[in-house]
Amino acid sequence: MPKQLIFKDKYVKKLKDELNVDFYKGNEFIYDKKQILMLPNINHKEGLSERLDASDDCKSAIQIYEAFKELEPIQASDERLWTYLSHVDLYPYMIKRWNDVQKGTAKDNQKFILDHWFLSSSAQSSLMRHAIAGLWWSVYLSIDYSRKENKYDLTKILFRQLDFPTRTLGVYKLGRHKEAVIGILEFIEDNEGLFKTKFEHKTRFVTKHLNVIGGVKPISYYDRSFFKSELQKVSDRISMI
Amino acid sequence: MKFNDVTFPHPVLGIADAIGGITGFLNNPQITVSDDRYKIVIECSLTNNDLIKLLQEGKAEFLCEATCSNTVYRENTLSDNARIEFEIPKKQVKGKVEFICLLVAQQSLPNYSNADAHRDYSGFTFDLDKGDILAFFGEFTFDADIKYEKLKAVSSFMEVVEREDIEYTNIDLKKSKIEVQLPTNEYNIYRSDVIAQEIKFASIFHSSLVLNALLTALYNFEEHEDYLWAKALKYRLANEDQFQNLNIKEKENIPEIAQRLLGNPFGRLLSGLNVIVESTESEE
Repeated sequence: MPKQLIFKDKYVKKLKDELNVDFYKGNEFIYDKKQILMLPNINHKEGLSERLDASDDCKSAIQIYEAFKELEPIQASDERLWTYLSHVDLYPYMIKRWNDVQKGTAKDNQKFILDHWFLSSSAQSSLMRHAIAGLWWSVYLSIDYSRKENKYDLTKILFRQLDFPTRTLGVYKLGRHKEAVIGILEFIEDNEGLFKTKFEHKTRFVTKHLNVIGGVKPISYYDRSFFKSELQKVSDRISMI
Repeated sequence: MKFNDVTFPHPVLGIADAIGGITGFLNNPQITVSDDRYKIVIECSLTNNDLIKLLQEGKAEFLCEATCSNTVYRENTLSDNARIEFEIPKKQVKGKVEFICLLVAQQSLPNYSNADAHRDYSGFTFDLDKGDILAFFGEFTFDADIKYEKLKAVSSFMEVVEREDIEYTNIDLKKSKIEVQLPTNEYNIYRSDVIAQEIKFASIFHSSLVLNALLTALYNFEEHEDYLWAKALKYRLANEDQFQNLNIKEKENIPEIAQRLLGNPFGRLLSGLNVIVESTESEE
C-alpha cells in the first residue's frame, strides 16, 4: 500500500511566503512533486476526500479521524502533513467546504487561504483552527471509548456549532484535558433542555467559567465528574443566557 | 495556570509571603533522554510543619502537571513524597514542554489554617476542596526539539553547508542551526576526504570557521532567541557550572563563553599545530 506523503518543510514555507491566490481557484492544486516526503509508518488513505461531506463537519471529522487514528500526537501536530492534505489529497473537499475564494465572496482572498489551508504555528490554537487538523483534533479530544459503539456521541455534541471545537473550547488550555472536554459534553448531554437555545453563547459561557476556575485550581487533577458538578452549580446562570 | 500575580482566596506556600518559609526544588529538575522517552525527576523542598503533617496524614499530595501546547498534551503525576518521577513518551510532545509542581489537598479540608501564614490571615480559617493548592514549588520548561544528549557536539547547534550564489563565506543565523555557508569551491575543498576526515584539522576549523560563526551568533543572541540553536546554547549556559559566572548579556563575556562552548579551541589549535609539526618532522 502506498505511504502517506507530506510536503517538505521548506516547500510549506515557500507556498505560504509566495502565496498565489489564483492557484486555489482551480479544481486541482498544482504543486512541485519533488517537494514531498513519505511518512514511513502511515498508509495513504485512498478515496478519503470522496468520503467527506462539505455540508457535515462532524461526519467529515469522524472520517478523517478514522482514516488517521494511528497518528501519534507528534505527527498530528506536523504542519507538513496537514498542509499536504489540504493542498493535495483533500483538496477536492477543501474547495467545496471553503469555497469563498472560488466563488469570489472572500473579503480577503489571501487571508482566507492562509486561515484555512495553512497553520500559522504548531500551537494548539492554530491546530484547532486549521480546516483539516481541527477536525482530527476535535475528534481526538472528544472520542469516548468507554461508550463502545457510541464512542462518537460526544463528538456529535461538540460539532453542533463549529466554533465550539475550533474557536472556543478547543483553543483554551482547558481543551488539552480530555476529562474536562468529556465532562463539559456530558453535562450538555445530560441537560439537553438547557442548551436548546443560544448554544453558542451558552457554550462560550461554560468554557469561560471553567477557564476561570482553572486559574486557581490544577485542572488536570480532576476527572469529568468535577467539571459536571461545577457546571451544575451554575446551571441557573446558564439558563438565563 | 499562571502563578504570576495570582491571589488565592486562602494562604498558599510559595505565593508571595502568604506563608513564611522556603519552598522550591532541592536540585535542578533532572531530565534524561532515552530512545523513546524523557524521564523527569523532581525533588520538592517542603519544610512547613502544618503541610508536612497534612502529607503524613494522607490529606495532601504532590502534583506535577506537564503540558505541551504543540501536541495538546496535558498529564499530571501524583506522589505521596517530595520526589516526583515520571516519563513522557517522545511521541507525545514537541517543542516547549511546561511543568508546574504543587502540593494539593487530597480531600476536603474544612477549617484549614497554617501556623506560619501571614498575619493578614490571622483568625481566619478556610474550607478547602479536594485539589485546592496548598503549596507552589515552582515551574520549569524544557524543549523537546533539543537533543540534550548530544548538546556537547558542535553539530548540535552549527552546520557547514554549500551555497552556490555567494563568493564569500556567509553566516546565517535565521535557521534552526547556525549555518556557515561556504561558496561551492571552498565547500568542495572542505568536504574532500583529506580535509574533512582528518582529525588533526578539527581544532583548526574550530578556532577559525566555527569560532567566528559562534561569536557572530553570540553577539546577536538576543534577536535570535527563538531559534533552536539559541535554545540549545541557552540550555547549556543555564545548566553547566562553567558558565555560572558568565552572563551572556554582558558582551565582554562573549569571547570566553564561545571558547568554553568549543572546549578551548585556541589551546587545542596550538597543541594540534605542534602535533602536525612533529608528525611532519618524523616523516622527513
